[in-house]
Amino acid sequence: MKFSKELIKGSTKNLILAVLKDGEMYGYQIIKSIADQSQEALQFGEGSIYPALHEMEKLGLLSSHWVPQEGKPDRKYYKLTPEGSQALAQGVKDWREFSHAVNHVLSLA
Amino acid sequence: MADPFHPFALEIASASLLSRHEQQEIARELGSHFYEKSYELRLQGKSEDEIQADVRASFGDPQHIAAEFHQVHRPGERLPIIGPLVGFRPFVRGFKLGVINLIFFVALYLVYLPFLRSTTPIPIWTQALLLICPFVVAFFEGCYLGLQRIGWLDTVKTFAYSTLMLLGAALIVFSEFFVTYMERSPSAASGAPSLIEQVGKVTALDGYMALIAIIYLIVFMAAGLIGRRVWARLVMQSLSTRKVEQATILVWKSSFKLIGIALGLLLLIILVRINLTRSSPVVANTRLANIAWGSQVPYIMIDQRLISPQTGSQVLGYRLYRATGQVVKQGDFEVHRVEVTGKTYITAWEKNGMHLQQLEGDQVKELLLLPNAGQIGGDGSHAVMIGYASPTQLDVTLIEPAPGSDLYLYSWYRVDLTTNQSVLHSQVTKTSGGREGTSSAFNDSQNHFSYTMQWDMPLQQSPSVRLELLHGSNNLMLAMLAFPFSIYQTWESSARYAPITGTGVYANLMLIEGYANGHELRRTDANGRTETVLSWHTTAEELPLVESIADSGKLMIADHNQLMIVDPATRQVAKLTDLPTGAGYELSSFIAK
Repeated sequence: MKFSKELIKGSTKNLILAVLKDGEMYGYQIIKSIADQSQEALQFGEGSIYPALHEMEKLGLLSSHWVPQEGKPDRKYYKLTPEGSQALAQGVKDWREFSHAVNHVLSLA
Repeated sequence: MADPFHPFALEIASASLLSRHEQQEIARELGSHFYEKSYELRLQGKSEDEIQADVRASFGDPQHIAAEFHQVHRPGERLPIIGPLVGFRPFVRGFKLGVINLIFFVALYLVYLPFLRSTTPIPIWTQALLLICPFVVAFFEGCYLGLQRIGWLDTVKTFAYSTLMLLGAALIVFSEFFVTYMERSPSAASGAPSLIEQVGKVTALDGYMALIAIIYLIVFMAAGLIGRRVWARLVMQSLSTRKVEQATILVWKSSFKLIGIALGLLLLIILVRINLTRSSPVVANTRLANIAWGSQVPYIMIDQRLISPQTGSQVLGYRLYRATGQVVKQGDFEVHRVEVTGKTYITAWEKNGMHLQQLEGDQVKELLLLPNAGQIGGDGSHAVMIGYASPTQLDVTLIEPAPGSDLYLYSWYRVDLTTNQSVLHSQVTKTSGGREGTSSAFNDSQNHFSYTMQWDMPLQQSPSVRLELLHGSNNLMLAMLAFPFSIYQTWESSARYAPITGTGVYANLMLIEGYANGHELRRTDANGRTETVLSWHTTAEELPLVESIADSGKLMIADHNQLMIVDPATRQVAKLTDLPTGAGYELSSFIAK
């Protein structure tokens, strides 16, 4: 099932923070993890995740480092910072409240 | 095997318009993504073509991704003082291009200026080449920016900064301030304020020239933008079609840089060598003055005084251009415009005498020859005045050194324009005489001429190169090339003369010349040598009145509401009295007996 871009875009930050909660990952791995954990429900333009990662790193939510790979290109790994963990917690809270409110309105429709 | 997606990663990264380091980081990360994705698809058994298509399809719109990268990093925010609107990188790029353009324009000036100094007309193809050259340079600069994937706005900014740099350099080099202090400047020597305060004085002439310069620079920038779009696009398309490696792309970009620099240096070396080996005479005290624009300007007169390094003698070289660049006449001649009738005459000195000619369009019509008019002296001192005695009669006044003496020969010829016959009306050998000049004017509505025959004595002409536009349409190239010289006020050559009587057999002449910032009193002796006696700063445009004081050897000068007594021998100046402003007055003196 494909969701609208706008719907996915608003959740990209929280999704990235969520999958990184369990440890550091590189970009392609993050994309795969989101797809797997959503059971292929959340699939978006793979390229758009990289600007999001850069933005979150600029905001201090993530940190990154390069890891050399033998026989293939280096990988850039991202991990949560303490600020990122706080942002994730806040994001989860906000999402629950938001989805609850939306569900309530929709249930009345 | 080379990574087929690496160019794709590079393309996205460069489209983000970020710094080189950031682009490299992005390309590195995206390259890793493409590798991982294609590796996974390869494991699924897909063909290379399918992998290519799937990777690109799943990635998303590259331009959109690049824009998102740009939005995230926002390079403008790095310099909060300058801000994103100005941009630091276009400034640096513009500075680099400005240096290259400056070298080019200096080289262009070096190759063109000798044409102005010589009597050789400039071939049309040379004019065209000189005019087109800067645009070719701009075109390839635009191409270079295109290969760098510089955005449109940044390209315009780059050219704008480059242009501002050129304008600034031109203003500094050709400003009146600079020229004044490079030449023998009486005003500077006397400590009078510099002429720089006049630079800000804008006239219609300056406005017109500025408009032409702006149009020229806009076309220059347009050539650069065309180069960016057309050539760079063709090159990149050609490269991507043949799937050339990234290294080749870098080689292309580097080659443009190196070729551009090498060509510029080579051109400069060639042009400098040409000028060093040129055998034209040394030009003394040359300066291109202001262009006097009228409503219609078809003629450009270049008047220069050359000194032969071999003999030390002065050679007069004049050229009269039509606005199309065609040389109408060259040699030793003067152009006289009789304002009353609007007709233009030429007096040309040749070995067989003085030719009186009429200038009509591109044609020089011979009116008559005055074989006994005599030849000019070795110092070029002669004068000729033309005025209408009547609608069919022309008065030609010749003043030249009398052969075999230190006196001057005044010859007054009356020319009948219906028969082209001349009659020597009178001839006198005398000293410098009084302050006199020829003039003619309408007397009344019946077109009667009121004519006063006077003698004038402009013994020496200003030793300067004068670019004088008489009237008519414009020669764009000459106007463009003369533009740098027109941004300052010219030195007006109007003068008043007064003899200093009572000082001996050979009377000295005093004249006051009006310059853009003041007046100057100069003494000229019978040998034609001049020296500055006094100079002063004034904003008054009218020349001061000057009269000799009887036989005292002194002068009285009324200038800008002051009456001064000047002793040229001792250079003493004494203010006699203040004069009322706005009042007209005349000066005269007499000896009471």
